[in-house]
Formats: sequence, C-alpha cells, structure tokens
Amino acid sequence: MNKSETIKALSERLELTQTRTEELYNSLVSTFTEHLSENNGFSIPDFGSFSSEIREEYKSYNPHYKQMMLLPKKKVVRFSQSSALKDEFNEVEL
Amino acid sequence: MSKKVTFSELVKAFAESHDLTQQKAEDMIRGVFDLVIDDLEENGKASITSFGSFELKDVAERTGINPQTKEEIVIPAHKKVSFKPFKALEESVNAPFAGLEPTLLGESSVTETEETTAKEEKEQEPEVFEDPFAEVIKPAEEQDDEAETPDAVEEGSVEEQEESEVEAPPVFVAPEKEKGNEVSWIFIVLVLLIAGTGIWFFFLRDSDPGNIDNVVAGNQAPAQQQAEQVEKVPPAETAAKEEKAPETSAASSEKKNNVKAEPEAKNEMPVPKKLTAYIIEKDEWMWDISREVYGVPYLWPLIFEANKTVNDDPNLVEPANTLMIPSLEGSSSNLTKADYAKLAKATKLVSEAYAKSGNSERAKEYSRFAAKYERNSKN
Repeated sequence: MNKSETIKALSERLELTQTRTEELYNSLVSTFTEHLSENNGFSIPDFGSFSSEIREEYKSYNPHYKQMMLLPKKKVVRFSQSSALKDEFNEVEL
Repeated sequence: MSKKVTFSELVKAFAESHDLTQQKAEDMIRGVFDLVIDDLEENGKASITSFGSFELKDVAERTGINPQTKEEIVIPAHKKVSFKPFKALEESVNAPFAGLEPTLLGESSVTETEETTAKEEKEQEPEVFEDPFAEVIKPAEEQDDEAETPDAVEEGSVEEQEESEVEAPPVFVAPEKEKGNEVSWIFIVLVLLIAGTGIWFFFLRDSDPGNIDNVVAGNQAPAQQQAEQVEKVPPAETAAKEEKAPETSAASSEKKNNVKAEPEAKNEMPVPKKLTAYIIEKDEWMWDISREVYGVPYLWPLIFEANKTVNDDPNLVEPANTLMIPSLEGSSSNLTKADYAKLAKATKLVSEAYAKSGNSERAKEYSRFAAKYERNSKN
C-alpha cells in the first residue's frame, strides 16, 4: 500500500477530504518525528511504542578495510511491539 | 532521560493544533496504525511515508529460562513486527551526533587504558569539529604518523610538546574566545598527548621492562597538565602543530625511499610509485607481502597478477624469490577508479587460478570480490 492508497483509505474512514487527510497525515508524521528527536517516546495502544535512545560507540570489524573500526555514538529509534500486536500475528496458546 | 508522551496527550495536542475533535484525532492516529496492521497481515510488510517501515519477521524457537523459577522453557517459534526507521527520521533523530564519523583503529598502537580515556573525552565533547585543523589531525591518522617515527624522535617530540605547553601561556591571550572552538582545541591536544605517550609507552615497554616505572611517571605528567591546559590550549596546540608538520613530512619522505622498512612501519607503508622488486623472505605469502608494501593485505591479487599466471596455485609462494610489485594510482586506503579496475582484473585472475588448482570455494569467494571491485571502479 503506498501513500496515496493509505490517504484514500483514511479519508473514507474519517469522512474527510483527501487533501485534508493528507495534510493531517503529514503533520502527524512530523509530530512523531519531532517527539522522537526530542527524546520523547510515545506509544500507540494495541500497536506498540516508539522511543529514541543513544547507542554508545562500539568497535566492530570492517571487512572492507580488514581492520577494527570505532563506530561513533548514535541516536536511534527503537520500536517495541505491544502484546496485543504480537497476539494478532501469532495464534494465542492457552 | 527520555520522557514518555501518553497517547491521550498525543491525541489532545494533535486535535488542538488541527482544529479537530479529540475523537476524530484519535481515529486518525489509530487509523494510520490500523492500516499498517492490515497491510502487515496482507503482505507481511507496511510503511508509513517518511517515517519508517514495518516488517513481519519470523523468530526461531529457542530455549529461555524463566527468571523467577529458573526453569528452562521453550519459547516457540513466532512472528514479530520489526520497525526500521527511514532515512529522514533517522537523520532528524540523530541530528546531535550527525558530525561523528567512524574511525579506523590502528592495529595495536594504543593500549587498553588509553582507549578508554579517549572514549570518555569523546563522550564529553560530542560537538562537531569546525576547525580546518581538525581534518589534519584526526586521531587515527595522527597515530599512524607517529608510529612511523623512530623512538628517539618520538620521545623528543613528546617532551618538547610538553615544554611548549608550559612556556606558551603568557605569550598568548586566547585568540578564539568561542566555546565550541576551545573545546575542540582541548580535545585535539588531549588526543595528541594520549597518542604520543601511548606510543612512547609501547616502545619503551618493549625494549626494556625495567623502565616501566619511569614511563608511567611520564604518562601521568601530561595527565596533570591536561587540567592546566584548559586556558592555555590554543598556544600549546599551535606549537604542537608547527612541530608536527615537519616531522610528518620528514617521516613520509624517508619512507618513499625504502620500500621495505622496519617491521613496525609495515602498516603505514606508502604506495610504491613505480613497479618495484620485492625479495621474499622465508615463508611469506602474498597476503603478507601486500600488507608490507601497500599497508593493506587485500591488494595481493595485484602482486599475483604481476608475477604469476593462471596455472599457478595462489596459495604457494616459494621462498627466495623476487616479486614485482605493481604501483597504485591512488593510495592503498583511497583507491582510484583505475586501481579498482586493475584490482578487479587481478582478482578475477586469482579466482581462475584457484579454480584451476581445485579450490573452488576460494575461487567463488574471489570472483565475488572481483565483482565488488568492478562495481567500485564504476562509481
């Protein structure tokens, strides 16, 4: 599903025009991005949570240079699925 | 340190900023992720434009231990939703550290403790270097340069460096007042000192174990000075730099003259400018020779191509032979397109030779390398 299909499906669901939906969609994504850039994690019910964290620098072997390299620290986005989402794709055993 | 935004806060803020009812805003956000779930169910893949992509992944069965009962349990194979941020998101999140680049670590010129101190410093100053000088004295290159100079020069230079730091301060009233600049100066000087003393320490320990006490004392001296340096940094750095420049150029010109240098310098050998002869010492394989003459082992196919034919076994190198060493256009760490093209051709030959000598695995491996080099030669 690409963006325009997503927007179309959403606009039908929300009973809004496609232009308006696209506007909302874009601003929603940038809200998410802003939150993550500012170190704010957020969670979506029944889906999962997003958070950003600092990955410390570490040493790793670079096969091209055949040498160890020091990879600098980096801020990365983490996603953790909620248990509801997990159950959705796995048969629940009882 | 990371805060959490609750879903209701998210919905409220979104509703207010877009003139929506909270119900609509919640529907909107949930709708986006419902669509993702639908998509995942259908295709096992989904994405949110300019945010990231989700993928359904299989997790294999494994055994785990129940942390409460210490019982071993089998975690059955299951599916998991993984998330991969898109570049736009990645970059905007990583903005504070965007200027950091991976660095090559030399083979063992820095001892464990010094690496950790270097690490601590790095954590304190994640700022991006803005000076033109930062380029010139990146830690890795800098270590390499120093590693090549003979012990005597090394010791001398460290001492001189320390002296100049002590003398300099009254002359200078810090020309750069900006904080960012000062911080990077401090960082550069610290790295210089640490690398210098590290190598000094390394050499001395090798040559004479009795000297260690001395060396440790020498090692602490710069550490104390680091504290004093905070205000004196710019002059010290300039002095150190001026000294550095001639030293480096002298070292490199010296190296150009002799292709086979002492064992310590192996890794930093310059690229031979012309076709050079190389006499094999006993039991050296081309891999080792390449490391000695080019500084990196993986260029050995070039040597093979220049000396052998398809019918030779690449794994054999008879001792007491003279090999021709082809030249490179660029340097071994920065190959040009032509070099890559040559390397690709040579690697292909190696692959064929391996195939002929019955080593099909190696042959495959090297034909893959050849393909990679060929791609590199084109872009």
